[in-house]
Amino acid sequence: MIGCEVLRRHADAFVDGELDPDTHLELEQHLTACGPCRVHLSFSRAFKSTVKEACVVPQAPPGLAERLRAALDAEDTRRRAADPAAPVAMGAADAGARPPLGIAGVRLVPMRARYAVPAAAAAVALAVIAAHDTADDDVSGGLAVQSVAAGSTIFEDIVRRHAHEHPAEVQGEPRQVASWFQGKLEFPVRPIAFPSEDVRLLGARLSNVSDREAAAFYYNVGGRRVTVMVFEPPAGLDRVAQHTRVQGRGIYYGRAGGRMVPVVEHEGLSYAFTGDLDGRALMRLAASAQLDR
Amino acid sequence: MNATTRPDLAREEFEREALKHLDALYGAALRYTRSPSDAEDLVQDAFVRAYRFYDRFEPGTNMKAWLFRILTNTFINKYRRKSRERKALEGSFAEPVGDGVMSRAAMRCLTDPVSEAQRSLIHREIQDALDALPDEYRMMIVLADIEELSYKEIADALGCPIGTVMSRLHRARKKMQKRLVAQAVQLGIIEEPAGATTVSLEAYRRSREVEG
Repeated sequence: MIGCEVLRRHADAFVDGELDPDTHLELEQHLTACGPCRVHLSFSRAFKSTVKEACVVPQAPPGLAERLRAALDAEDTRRRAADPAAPVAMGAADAGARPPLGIAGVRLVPMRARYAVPAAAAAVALAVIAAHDTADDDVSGGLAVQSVAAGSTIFEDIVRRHAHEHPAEVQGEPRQVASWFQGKLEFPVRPIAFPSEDVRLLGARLSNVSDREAAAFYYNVGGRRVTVMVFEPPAGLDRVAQHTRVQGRGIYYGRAGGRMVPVVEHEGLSYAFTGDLDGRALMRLAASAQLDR
Repeated sequence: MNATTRPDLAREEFEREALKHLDALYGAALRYTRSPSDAEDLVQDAFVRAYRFYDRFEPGTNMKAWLFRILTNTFINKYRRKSRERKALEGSFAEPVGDGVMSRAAMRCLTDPVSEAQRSLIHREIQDALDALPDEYRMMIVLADIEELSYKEIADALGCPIGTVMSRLHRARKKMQKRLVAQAVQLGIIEEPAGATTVSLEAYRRSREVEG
């Protein structure tokens, strides 16, 4: 005969219907004979059903289903863009030997590390740079038309990512955040450090800029939210972005939705900054970013 | 096999099947995040994730449990902002909750018929008690009591052994019950007379020993 102790130990499983039939029967037998256990069990049952009664949400808010469909549409679009069979805007020259951004003389940084470019490709790159220097519609002419369109949406996209405040997927020390990204992107990323103590890393997540995978880093800058998106540079940004130098650093910038978006190129990656700061503060922030890895 | 060979069919099928569980997913998300806007974001994130991995869903298995697994994981990975909550399990919440700590009078607040007004008060208190639980415990109540998933499904959703599900669920319930009873006494829904007849196991055993 099962005792009270056994019943109490199995009370949850009993109420949840998780016991095997034999044990269940034995416990029921005990219940018929034991008043205190009956009280106990009926309370457990009542608790379970009252919780459900009290907490069940009868309906999702109107519009959520529509929002989800739109999110699936966006996912479909992203997939189509990622599908190599789909028509791509970026040519071979872009993939291997993207010309460093900038007009003659303001070439920002040499491509190094994993962007070590084979000699032949490097020659192509030089040719493209030369083309930039002389005639805007020569070698890269076809590329540029598409890039203009892509470039203008890039700023909008970056601002939208910031405005949406998507939750961080990872938080913690910069090193932990960096290791979380390992294997998730085609390129290595780590949170940017800033000399100012007012800048605090809040978290990061996988994101995308136009069709490109990106890492989004969220910072708190003196109480304001700033998003830094890191991605492989799109071609032709120099045609849609303006260029300036701040504290000796070449910075591209564009605007979208009333916000400034400075972009710094470094070692084959683009770092786009946007946030709830005014344009100048964002520029200074971009200029102060410690990009060396 | 899913209709993955035809992307448009997979999309249609996913949308149709997954949207059936939208209300339940949103309800759980709301209980997890305790914020309507976070809940919508969480559902959206989970939805897109599920769609992305839809080819891994085995047709014929429980779609709801699968979606809840993704929702729960998304919540654990992305939405738990306060790291101190994670420590809750090692802190005071890890104290043994004991068994049968409640008096009969206390238990009556749920088992005996009460007025409509009292009922809605109790519902309110239950919601508050649930919201006050640490994430790990709240997820248990949501999955086991509100969504009525099986222990196995919950263990799958959380990636933990069934034994862990059982012990956490037990603690979660005890935590809520304690608070609930304390509130019910305060609100005058039940009376808690001094020296009330407890149904604690120890007391019961003692009484048997005396009798025997």
